[in-house]
Amino acid sequence: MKQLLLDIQPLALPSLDNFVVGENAEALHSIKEALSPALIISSNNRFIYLWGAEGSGKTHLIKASKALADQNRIPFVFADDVHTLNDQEQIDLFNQYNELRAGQGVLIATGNASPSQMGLRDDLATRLAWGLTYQLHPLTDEEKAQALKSHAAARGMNLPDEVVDYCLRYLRRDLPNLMATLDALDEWSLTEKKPITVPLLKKLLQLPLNI
Amino acid sequence: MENFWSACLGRFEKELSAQQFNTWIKPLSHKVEDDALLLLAPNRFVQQWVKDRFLPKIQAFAKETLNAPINVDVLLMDNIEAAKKQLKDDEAKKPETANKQDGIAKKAAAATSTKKTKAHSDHSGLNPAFNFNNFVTGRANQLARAAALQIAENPGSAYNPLFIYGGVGLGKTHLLQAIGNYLKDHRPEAKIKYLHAEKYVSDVVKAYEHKAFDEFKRQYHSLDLLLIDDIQFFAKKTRTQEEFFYAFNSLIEAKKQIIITCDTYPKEIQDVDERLRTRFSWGLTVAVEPPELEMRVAILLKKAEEAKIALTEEVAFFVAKQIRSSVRELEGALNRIVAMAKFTGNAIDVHLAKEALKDLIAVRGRQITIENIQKTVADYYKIKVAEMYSKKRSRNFARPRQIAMSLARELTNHSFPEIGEAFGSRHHTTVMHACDEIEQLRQNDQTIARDIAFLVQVIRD
Repeated sequence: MKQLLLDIQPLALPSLDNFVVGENAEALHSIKEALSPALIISSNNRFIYLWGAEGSGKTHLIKASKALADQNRIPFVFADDVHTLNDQEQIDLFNQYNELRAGQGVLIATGNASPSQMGLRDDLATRLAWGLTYQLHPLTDEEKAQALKSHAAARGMNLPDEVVDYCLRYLRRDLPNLMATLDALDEWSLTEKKPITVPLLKKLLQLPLNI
Repeated sequence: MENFWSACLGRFEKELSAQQFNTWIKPLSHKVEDDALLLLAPNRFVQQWVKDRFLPKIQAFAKETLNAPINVDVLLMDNIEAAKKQLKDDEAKKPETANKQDGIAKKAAAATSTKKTKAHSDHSGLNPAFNFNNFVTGRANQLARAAALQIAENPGSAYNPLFIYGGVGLGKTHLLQAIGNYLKDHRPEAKIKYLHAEKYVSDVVKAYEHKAFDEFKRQYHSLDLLLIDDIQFFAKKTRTQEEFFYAFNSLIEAKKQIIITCDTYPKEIQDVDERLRTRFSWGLTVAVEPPELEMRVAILLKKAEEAKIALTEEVAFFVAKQIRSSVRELEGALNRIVAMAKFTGNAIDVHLAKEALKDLIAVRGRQITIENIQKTVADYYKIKVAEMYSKKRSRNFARPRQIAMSLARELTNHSFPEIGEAFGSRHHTTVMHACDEIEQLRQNDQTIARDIAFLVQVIRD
């Protein structure tokens, strides 16, 4: 009989502390400064635009920033994937930007290219470029391994090195995919009551996606 | 002492022009403390002016009437006092207009009026950071600046409306705000409103929802200076355009100044009523052009100076050459350079500036796929793309194929099995072997290393 899983795993929420930083240390530092309740931030540095390829950590940083802003009671506006905004949404963001700039608060926006390269309205694009702009660099395979291990540690999961190696060898290596595999592996090992090993992972990968 | 000040007021009212009296003397409140007369000015500007021009007169007058020198000083009213004074003045004014209405309406009107004026003084929308002193002038904007300054000194009479147009991030808002701040400093009682056109649109919508167009009209038609930014946002908003048409006419008729900015000149504004467009060009229309190189350098140096950052001309020139389009992007570049210097602890030089600017002006490389790696590598070694999937093992085909495999591993997120699949369904161990072999070659064979570095460049761009 299949062991039913009591899903009481605390989710490893994205935070600025569990972000594997790679080459993105300055971006992370600027975000932390902007959201620090103790510092007075110049209006330029309250506006941060992050761009990069899929899986470079944009969504993680936005979610983590939102949580920190809430905790520190800092007015916060975020705009994920601005390159997908339609005309009206661009105007809305433009207005929010102006309001925020005239007042208090922090804005973090993300997109898939530098501000002027997405075909956005000029008035919005130049505003995004006005604050701090960072390209997020994807992690190297070694950094991805580190990210997987710290994610596993946060879940209280015992993750042997050879499983990590196997993942980086045989799976697609974008971080969202790797993390999702890890989560599925954790659940599977709990329901099967078996330790996490390469054979278990292989077995999991042969299963239909919906376990 | 109380009597002395009222006598003073009476005297000034006689001696000064009404405008001078209203600007300098009327905004003062007074306090008597320990036999000293303290005059409270609403802002530094008035304080200084009164000290310089009127203090000697007050003292002379005291000698004349009291036969004794008097201890008098001009201080800065704190904000609360200023607000109170404003409220009192407004209440004093109110009954004149409200007298004709019945008692209840009068009370209500007075109440809303004070509330409104309070909100107004809080919400002029002006940001004191924008003034004429920190507006960098060059050929691109000197005409606009000159016109703006002239109007700030003489609102309502010189050019009305002033219509400033130009591309984004060229300082239109800065000029608009500078005019407002100038007038506020010189005539603190003037009713000034700066707002973005979008805000005006949403005010019209709110007035609609609450059926409060009278209130809306009162608010806008009573201004001394209306600064409205990005008027192109009125496009297709017919009710907004209609309301603005009335506000425009009423303000111009009363010789109250209107200043408008737009991304294009009046005739070219899309989807705005003809009668408005014609009116926009009644006064003076001036353009702000993108800044030329020297001006961009000057802007950077000025911004750096304001932020107390040491920026050499060499770096300023470097940045100004890279970023041409808007002042906002120039500022963004400077922000990022400063942030990087602080973070790394390195001095700001051209090398650091170059690094910092990469993120801001990088052109997005195209999406890297196994297909375009295969094609690029095949082209480079002058073989057919088909050889990437073929079973041929001759070195002429095998080596480029191996290079393409290793680049696929390096530049994409695909797994070994996926890469094998894309190269004619090869086993993933073949791909792993290829990657190892190319890695070896890269370290030992300079030609291969150079080829690969070149290919990476081509594929990324």
